Amino acid sequence: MSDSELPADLAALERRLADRPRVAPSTGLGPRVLDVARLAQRPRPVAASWRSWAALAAAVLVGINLSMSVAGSADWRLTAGIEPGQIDATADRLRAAAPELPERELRRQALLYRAGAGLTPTVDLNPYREPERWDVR
Amino acid sequence: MDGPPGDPLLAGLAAGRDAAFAELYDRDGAALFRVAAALLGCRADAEDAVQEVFVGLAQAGAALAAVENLRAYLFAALRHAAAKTAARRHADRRRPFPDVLAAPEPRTPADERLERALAALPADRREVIALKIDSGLTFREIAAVLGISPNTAASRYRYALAELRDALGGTADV
Repeated sequence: MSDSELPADLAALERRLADRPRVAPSTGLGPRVLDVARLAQRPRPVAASWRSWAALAAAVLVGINLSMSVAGSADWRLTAGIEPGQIDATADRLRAAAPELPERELRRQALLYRAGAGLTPTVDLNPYREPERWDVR
Repeated sequence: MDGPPGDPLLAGLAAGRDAAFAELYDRDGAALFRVAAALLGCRADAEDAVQEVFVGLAQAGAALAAVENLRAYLFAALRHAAAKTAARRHADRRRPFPDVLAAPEPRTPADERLERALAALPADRREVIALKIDSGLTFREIAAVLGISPNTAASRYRYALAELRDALGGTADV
C-alpha cells in the first residue's frame, strides 16, 4: 500500500510520521551488540548434563548386551589337525610330571590337552542352520 | 540484499564473520531499535532486545543459510526478543512513550502530541506502524514478520493510521 492507495488524510499522516524526529539508539549500543555477538559465537564448554549421562548409560547397556550376545553365540572349533608327534611329546611331558598315571590315561590326557590348545572361539552368526558336511563342530 | 540465495551478507553471518555483523548493525540496527522502542517503550529494554537479536544470530551460525528473507527474519526475531524482554521485566506496554524515550531535539508540541497518541495505540497497531514507517519493511515483509497475509498487514496498517488520526482529533495536521 503506497501513499496513493491511502485516503489523502491518512497519506498525510503517514508522511508526518515518516518525517517526525525519531529516537535513535545510544552510540554505545553498536559496539556492545557486536561484542556480545562475538562472544556468543565462541564454542562454550559443554557441561555434562543428564542427557550426557543418559547417553553414556545407554551406550554401556548396548555394549553389555552385545558382548553377552557374542559370548552366548561363541563356539569352539578346531583350527587345525593334531600332529601325532605333538601328542607323543605331550604324553612324555605328562609322564615326567605324573609317572604314576597309566599309559592309557597319559595318552587320553595328552589328546585332550592338544585338542584344547587347538581350539579357537568363533561366533556362529546363524546358530539355527543345518550343519554342513565339512562342519567339524 | 534481503537474503536471496547467495546473499554475501547472509553468508558472512552464517560463517560468523565480524564484518558481516557490523554491516548488518549499520544497516538495520537503528530500525530494529526504533521498532523495539515502539514495542517496549523503554530505551534499556529496546537495546536489550536488539542485543538479543544479534546474540541469536551469532548462535544460529550455519543455520542462517536457510533464511530466505533476512529483514523479515530479523524483525520476527526482534518481536520474539521484545516479548521475552517484556515478560522478564513486566513491562507495561501502555507506558507513555515520551516519558521514557525522548525523541531527539528539536521537538515541537505537535511532535510530542503525535508520540503520545502513537504510544496510546494498542500494541498491534503501534507495531505495524513501527514496522512500516520506522523500519521501512514492505507489506510482504511485515506479513512474514507477523505471520499474517500481506493484505491483512496492509489493512491493519490502514486501520492503525485511521485510529491514530482519530486519536489526534480527526486530522493528520497535528
